[in-house]
Amino acid sequence: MNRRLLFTELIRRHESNIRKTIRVRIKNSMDADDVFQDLSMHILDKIERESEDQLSKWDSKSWMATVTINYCYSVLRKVTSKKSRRMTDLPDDETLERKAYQKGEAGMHQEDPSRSVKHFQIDDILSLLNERDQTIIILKLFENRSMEEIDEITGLTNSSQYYKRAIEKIRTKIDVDGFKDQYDDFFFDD
Amino acid sequence: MNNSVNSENGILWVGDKALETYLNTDKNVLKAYTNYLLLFDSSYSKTDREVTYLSDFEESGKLDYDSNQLSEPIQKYFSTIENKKIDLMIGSSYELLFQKIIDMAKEVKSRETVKNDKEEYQLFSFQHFRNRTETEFDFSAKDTLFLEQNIPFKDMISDSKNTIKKAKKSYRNVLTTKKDIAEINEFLYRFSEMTGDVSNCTDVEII
Repeated sequence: MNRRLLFTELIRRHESNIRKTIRVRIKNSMDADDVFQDLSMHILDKIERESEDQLSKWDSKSWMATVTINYCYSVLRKVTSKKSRRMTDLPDDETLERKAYQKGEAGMHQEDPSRSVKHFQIDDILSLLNERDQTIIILKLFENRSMEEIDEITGLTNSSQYYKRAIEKIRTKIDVDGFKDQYDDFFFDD
Repeated sequence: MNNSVNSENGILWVGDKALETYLNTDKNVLKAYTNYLLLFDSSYSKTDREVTYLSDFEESGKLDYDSNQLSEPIQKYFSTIENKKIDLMIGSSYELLFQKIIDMAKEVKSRETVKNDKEEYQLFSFQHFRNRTETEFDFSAKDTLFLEQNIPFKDMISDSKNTIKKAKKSYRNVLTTKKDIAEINEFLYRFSEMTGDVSNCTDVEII
């Protein structure tokens, strides 16, 4: 299969939808144009690398929507993390931890374990999921979309099922229950 | 635009897959035909060959690659070609542009069937004569060759199957290549000889 011909056909068919999807998420129109150009290269790269088996599970519209939404969020995450790095003079980890303990806001709360938090990088969490599930999580949790809207955007008919499974997968992979057990040990081990 | 002169048979190559096949076809075989190349636009399909871009037939200058928007420019394009000059249309059933041309052939045929049924009643109707000039391009006398492509997406596969079904109802002969990168030199050679027997061609079969 000549993947470049497939790419051309897909971009032509879905260009207006892709541009709309980008515009909704990337507000600056200049940036949106740049994102479209970069995304086109990303799509070509994906089409050339992805196996036929993998692609054959998809409708072209759903696949394009999924790739586009995920790409937009990866761009936004990069921009946000760059900005925050620029604006804050970050201290080293030890200083940060010491300050946190002084204020009683450390990851593991010393007096009240139920207030303990564990931080995860969103990128790390999303990378546990396949492309389709990443999109569903982004649309549901970042954009507060209803399941009907998600079905419409992705062209799926059962995204609520995929959503439940994706959440379950995240819980298992990051071992949420194990984390809860740690609390329990902390509570009852006196 | 055509790429050969003084040839009796004409081929209309539609879309990017057709262009790729055209460029891989023996030049001596191509010389037996008047070759017309029709592409959607130049943004992704740049070539040094003489081609016609459908987007040039849209007055606003902005043509979307959308089934509803393609009809009018396609009609305008066909009005620039003499019906009898084209014997064979070649394209991929996965490309929207070729799908639309196949669809239009079916529309034209069904319109003509209705008209023929009412012929004696409409003999003096002006509308009737207007319709006849619209449908001068007679698809039912043409053959069409679908270029096989391994496309993975479910919706595109189903659209392609529908297009081939429609073609069978509207065209004289419907043929397909047997593999993705098919050699069609032998087929085109036999086709130009008008022997009509393409059954032994290596890469092409009648469907």
